[in-house]
Amino acid sequence: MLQRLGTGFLNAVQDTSAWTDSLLHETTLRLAVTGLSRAGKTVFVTSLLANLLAMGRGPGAGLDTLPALRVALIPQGGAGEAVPRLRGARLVPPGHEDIPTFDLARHLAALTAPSPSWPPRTNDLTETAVELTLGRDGLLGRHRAPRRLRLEILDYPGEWLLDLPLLDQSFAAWSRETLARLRQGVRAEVFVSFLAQLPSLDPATPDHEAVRRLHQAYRDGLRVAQEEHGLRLLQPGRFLCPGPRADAPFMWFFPLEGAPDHPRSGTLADLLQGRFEAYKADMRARFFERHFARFDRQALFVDVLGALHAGRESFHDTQEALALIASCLIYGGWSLGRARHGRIERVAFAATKADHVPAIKREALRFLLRDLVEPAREPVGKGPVSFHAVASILSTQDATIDQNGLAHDVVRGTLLGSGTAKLFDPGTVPVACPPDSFWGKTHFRLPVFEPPRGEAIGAGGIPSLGLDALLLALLGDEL
Amino acid sequence: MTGAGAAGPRLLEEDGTATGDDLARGMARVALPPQTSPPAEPDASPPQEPALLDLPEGMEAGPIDHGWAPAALTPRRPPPSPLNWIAGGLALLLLGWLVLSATAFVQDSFDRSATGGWITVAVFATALAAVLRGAWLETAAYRRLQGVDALRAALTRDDGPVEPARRLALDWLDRLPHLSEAAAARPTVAAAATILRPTRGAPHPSGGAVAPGHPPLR
Repeated sequence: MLQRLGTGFLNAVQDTSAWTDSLLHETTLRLAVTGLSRAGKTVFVTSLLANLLAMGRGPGAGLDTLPALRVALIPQGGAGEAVPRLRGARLVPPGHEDIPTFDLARHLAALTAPSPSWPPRTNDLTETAVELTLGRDGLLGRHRAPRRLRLEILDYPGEWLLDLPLLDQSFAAWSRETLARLRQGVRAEVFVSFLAQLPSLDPATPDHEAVRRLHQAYRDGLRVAQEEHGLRLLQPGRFLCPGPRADAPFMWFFPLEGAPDHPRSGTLADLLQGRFEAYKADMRARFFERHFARFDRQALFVDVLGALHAGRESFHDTQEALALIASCLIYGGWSLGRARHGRIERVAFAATKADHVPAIKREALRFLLRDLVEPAREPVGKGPVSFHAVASILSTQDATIDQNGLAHDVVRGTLLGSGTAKLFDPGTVPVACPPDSFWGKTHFRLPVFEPPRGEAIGAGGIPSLGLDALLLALLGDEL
Repeated sequence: MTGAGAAGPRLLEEDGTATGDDLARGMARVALPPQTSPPAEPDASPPQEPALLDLPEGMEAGPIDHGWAPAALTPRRPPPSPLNWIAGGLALLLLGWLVLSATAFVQDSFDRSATGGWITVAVFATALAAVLRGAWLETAAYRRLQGVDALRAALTRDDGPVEPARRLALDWLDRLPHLSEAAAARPTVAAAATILRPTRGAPHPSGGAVAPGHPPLR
């Protein structure tokens, strides 16, 4: 009994001490790494962690991997070459025991293998946290305990982000909007089989086999639209990247023609609406309310170049998807959708794969991003918003070739898989959303270059482009 | 995108909005310029298509290697801040006042009698020696604590530099002559090849192996 009392007392003292220490010396920032699928979120997290860890290897061992961040970390009044206040950086347990931890070692191993490859795309939620130990400024500050900045980062499949707008939609409204969209442009070709089968369903009595068949046809259409046509506004996101509970019956639904707002019990519309609501409830409980509503900072990645080269429909689709997502996020306020309590203080929009564009055109890429997300900026409140052209991992080098007697800037990279060195000319990068006359019928798929090689890459950080400026914009006030 | 001729417009070369050579090298050492108005709209020339091109003759065809070797962040003391100057000035005033007062007091004592003067000197010297000894002991203890803290920081990372960690560990062990375990651990630490203590049968995370007879630091 006495031993139990003693242990309890010691635990209470320890907990109180840890709580006080955390209150006095620790700041936690939750960074939402958002973006549509294949925008480069996982690569960003990998590069961010590798570079921060290399920079914070301890006194005398740190490396200058993020120069803009290093400058911001120099003590006030210090000379340009003074040592930053960063005393250490280490990975710490992220806090949620039921969420897999971001596998940095595996991603770095893939990048630094003899035949390097890019980290695989994210199929489920993963979480990570890095703790920066920062010295304090001033005469008194130097003798106080260092400050700890804990940065919590969530990585997740980008497709899921498009389920955010669903949360406040009814099944009938979603069905109407989705079917209208499916009958336009390239979607009409992709979903021809689904649209043809839709009228064959009996609205009064649900045939479960037919429902599953239609669900599969809808899902196949989404996949083709994403992979072959570069479309991004594809809902529900978990139909493309199911994550856990992929076979749960609530996943078996699809947009229904003429779905009423209040269907009668036992009808097909009632069945599909029930599944739609169960799907929303699951996403809300497992993803949005638990993780998404608690962020302080947000980085929103957009593959602007990929959308530009995939053609007009893909470009406008990306624009619409971004506007839809941003309409659900209220910055600097107190809500995410309705009943949420997040407060996003700083937002950075980033055009990824900036290394596929020579330096001379990167500003154009940044302005294009700015124009692309202009409709999405409306809900952005007073919080600072910045725009960046970023390559989290630099996979090309700039080169100049002679073209008809004129110097022409391109980038040089090694194609992933074949190992062949190629030059890539991104063509015209407009500074604003281009007019209709810009678009033709041919589409271009961005080449995939292999990650850079070098003995120092990995533990010694990773070469990047604009990553430090992006981090400075997001975290600068807390450094 | 539309089909177009190869020679496209070169809009951005003239207006100078590109961020410069640093970006071209992938070392974005400067923050992006402020959010100003976008550059001028393109002219009427047809847009240029993206293209994947073969390398021209003479251009290096090897894999991309940026020669990535970021500079080390060498510790260097920052110049004194204004607060340092203020604190230094106040300390000098206080110390000067004490020394001058003590000198005047001793001189007064000698003026009264030589014996009294010498007794005052002895008292002041003993007190000063005690203060200096206390300060010395406190400074030494603080330095020892700093050493232990630096050692703890050095051992936090399995892939950190070994030599500084070894030096700090040996210094720490040398300060524990009263512990027989410290003397026994000294040769082991001196011969350590890595910081990491690998689990039995597990490979070293760096890909190499810990050589026999070269145990880890911890």
